[in-house]
Amino acid sequence: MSTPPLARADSLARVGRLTLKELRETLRDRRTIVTLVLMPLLVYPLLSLGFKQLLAASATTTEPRGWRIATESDAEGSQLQKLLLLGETVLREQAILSADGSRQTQSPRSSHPELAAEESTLPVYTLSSGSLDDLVTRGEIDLGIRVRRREGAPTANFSDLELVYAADSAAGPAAAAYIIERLRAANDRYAVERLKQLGDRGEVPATWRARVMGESQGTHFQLATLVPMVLILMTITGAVYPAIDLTAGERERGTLEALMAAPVPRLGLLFAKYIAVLTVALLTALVNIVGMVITLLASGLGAVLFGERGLTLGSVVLVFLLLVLFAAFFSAVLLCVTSFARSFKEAQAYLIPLMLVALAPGFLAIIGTQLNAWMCVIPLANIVLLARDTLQGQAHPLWGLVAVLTTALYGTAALGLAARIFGSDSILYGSQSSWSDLFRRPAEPLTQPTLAGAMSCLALIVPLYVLLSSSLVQFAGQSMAVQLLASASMLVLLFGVTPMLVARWQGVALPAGFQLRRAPALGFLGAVLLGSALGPLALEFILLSRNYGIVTLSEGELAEKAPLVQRLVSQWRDLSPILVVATISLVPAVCEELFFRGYLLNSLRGRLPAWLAIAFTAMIFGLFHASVGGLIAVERVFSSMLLGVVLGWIAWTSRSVFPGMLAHALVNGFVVLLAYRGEELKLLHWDLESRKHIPSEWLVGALALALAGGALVYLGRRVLVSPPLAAPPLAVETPPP
Amino acid sequence: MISVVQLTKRFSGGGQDVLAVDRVSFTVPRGEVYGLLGENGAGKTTTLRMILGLLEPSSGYAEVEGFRTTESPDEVKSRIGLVSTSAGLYQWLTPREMLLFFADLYGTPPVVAQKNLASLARMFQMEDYLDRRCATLSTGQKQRVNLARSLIHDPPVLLLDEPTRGLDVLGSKVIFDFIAAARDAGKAVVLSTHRLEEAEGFCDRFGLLHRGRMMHEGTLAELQAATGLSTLTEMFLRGLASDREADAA
Repeated sequence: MSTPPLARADSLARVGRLTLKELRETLRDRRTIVTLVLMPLLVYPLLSLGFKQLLAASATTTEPRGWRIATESDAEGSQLQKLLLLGETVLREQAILSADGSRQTQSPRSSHPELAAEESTLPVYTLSSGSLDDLVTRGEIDLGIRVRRREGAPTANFSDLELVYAADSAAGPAAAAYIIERLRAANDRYAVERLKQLGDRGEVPATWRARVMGESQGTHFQLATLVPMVLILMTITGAVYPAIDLTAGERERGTLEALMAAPVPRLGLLFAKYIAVLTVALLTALVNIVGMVITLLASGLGAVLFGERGLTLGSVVLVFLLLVLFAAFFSAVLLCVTSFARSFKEAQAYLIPLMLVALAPGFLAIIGTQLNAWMCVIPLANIVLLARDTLQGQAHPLWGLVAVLTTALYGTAALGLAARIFGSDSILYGSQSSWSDLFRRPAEPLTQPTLAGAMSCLALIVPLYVLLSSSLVQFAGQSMAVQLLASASMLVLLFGVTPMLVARWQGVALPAGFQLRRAPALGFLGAVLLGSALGPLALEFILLSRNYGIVTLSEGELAEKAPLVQRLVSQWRDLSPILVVATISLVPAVCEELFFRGYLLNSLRGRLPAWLAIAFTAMIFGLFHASVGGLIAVERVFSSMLLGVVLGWIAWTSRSVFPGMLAHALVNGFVVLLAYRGEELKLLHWDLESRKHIPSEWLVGALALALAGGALVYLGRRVLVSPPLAAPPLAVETPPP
Repeated sequence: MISVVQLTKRFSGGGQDVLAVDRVSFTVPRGEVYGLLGENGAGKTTTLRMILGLLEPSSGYAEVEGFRTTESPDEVKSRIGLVSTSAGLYQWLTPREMLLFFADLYGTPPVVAQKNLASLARMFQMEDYLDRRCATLSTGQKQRVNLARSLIHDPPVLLLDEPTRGLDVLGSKVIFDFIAAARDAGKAVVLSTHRLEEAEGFCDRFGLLHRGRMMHEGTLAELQAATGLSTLTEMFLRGLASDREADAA
């Protein structure tokens, strides 16, 4: 017997073949085909019919052409039309004059002769049989009108009208109000003309002019908010069946044990299932979005729902990309939930509440909830609201970015949890173990954070960061000292306390887990040189980005922020330098290094190549620095990523967070230096407002320092044997007995 | 080939502490069929699952060809074929697709997998339904596909958990032939069953489990000499009786 090399089990090709098998099995199942193809074929035509009915019903009560109005004779109808014609003409004149800004009392006909209405917009029928009251009572007409010539009136044009409508009619009161408005306008015109005939100028006590801001959105946008919800629900529907079948279904059929008995890592098996569920979800999303677009185009509802610009290709593509992200997130959540279940029925029981919860964000969208700092970190709701705003062309870039980022993180965390659950003892042989085993802390402390743990921690910190950052606004009225202390406290809570609590809960030994180790003296010396060089180099990086136009903060926005920055700097100067250095330089350096390089980067050691681990951590570090005063500053993201790469390399090389903390503090200290000694620096050619680069002598000096610092860190690197992993990555985190 | 040393499993949960397997030890060399016998709940299945690495032992260990389950689970799994009555099939796949899928899971090269598949199809007379959906197969046909699945990667060790449960005479005969063929091929086989008279016929050595503990262990002749009884059933019943006496005392 030949035993194949087990390394193959981990290969991507193997996962690909596993995925193909899962897809083959899933797509052959007619239940998948029903949700994938038949549901969209039925749902969108039915929805379009529903929308049309809704719009038609709405039009019946608001559109005059849809009203059923009748008089008892042709003569009465003719008299009514004359009065309505006059009233309509007056109202049109007033509308035009208001738009012109003219006064109502100007002679309208002379300046706008074309305004005279040639016919009334209201169709009026004549009764052929029955009485008006009977027809109104039976609901056969919306409004009945009796027109009686007024006795003793100077001419035959004077009439008394009686308007009859049913109390429970929707269109009747609207039609009556429409007619009364025109009769009143006709009477007003008659009164003014009579006054003029009597020698009066016809002045009235008040004139008015209405000015409407923006474009009317009408009812179509309320209906448009349903579209992302329907798409998301349909995508969920597509993913639900395969998720259950490939996890709980597999256990119920008795194939899970045979699968777990094979020499393939649990994560590999789960990942194949995840890709299969995601593929079906995406196919469902694609079929649904195509079905929706075809239905909207064919029914002409596109323009009704989305206004004059209709449904654009760009917005459809963007919404599909959001659905891809949503499907990636929700497929992970589904697998997490269904992996818990021991049977198909149990999985369905878990998913029903989940589906109901998934409906809630749709209602938020309908009632017009805004995508803000709170909503953009709430799973499901953030994507529904972002999809709605995208379809309406009103998406907020920063909140949109946060929504995308948090959704991706939540998905990763859910997948990590699913990997821990899937095929574990307690699920595979549920009668013998308890679920608490899944969350049991290991007896022996872990020397390295688990990848799933680190990703879960990140998924927790991102929304906390957004929420706490936005809540700092509440300190705006306080003194600068309080503001700085509040900001520093937030960093301690976020990047210090939170990861330590998570690590403690997961049984990670804090000193080893956060790389709180002694570092060689050369490492510290190198960090000092690198930290001194990185501040100017990061600044040059920002200037380079600006020179090449890779910016998102415009000159105008910078100019707008400038007084605020100057005010901040001047307030800093009034404070004790110790407080400023501690809150601006030291606390951020210590806390951010603890989390990004101590915890997050350490969780990737041995699981990713060094360059990829450092790049990933630097990217996350950069994204955390994306926001400047509520705006996205790409240039700051890039410079922070550069810093993240260097700080990551220092931590990776020295196997300690302490040198990186020192370098980070010096970089932050450079910002404080710019604030405190800006005037003196200008004398040394540091007048950055008028320069495109930092002074060349400074640039050369910084590069030389960086090279020397790097060399020292490298020379002082700790050559240690990597400690054995207390837990293998993700799926196989089985706690020891 | 298989070495089980002081293997123990304790389940805790719901306020209960159950000792499912208590310091069980035995070895199974190549070409031997070992009968792990006992009543329902004796700890047979739990022992097999620990050998395979599906359950983590509370203490003790199991080794397969020198690889310890807790340290090299994948090395162990790649050397074992598992047959279980509770095992099902993928309804929407054909036996050919399913067997090649499992061959791939075990890292068997495609050419070797095809060769093994052809050989197993002949051995279990599956040629006629190799390309039919598993959902359409009869119980006997499904049983053969499951047996073939456990052999598709040609493992040196076979673990059979109650393989004849629920089968008729013909179905059981297929299993007996399968075990005999595995022994002839030099595989180490552990058979877990509560049908003592059945096991007596074709197992080389026996381990009688009761309440998680190994009551007797050895060949039939050794057991007969040690207990003075002629059949496994008698030995088992005596064990139960003495257990009851101990409980009553």
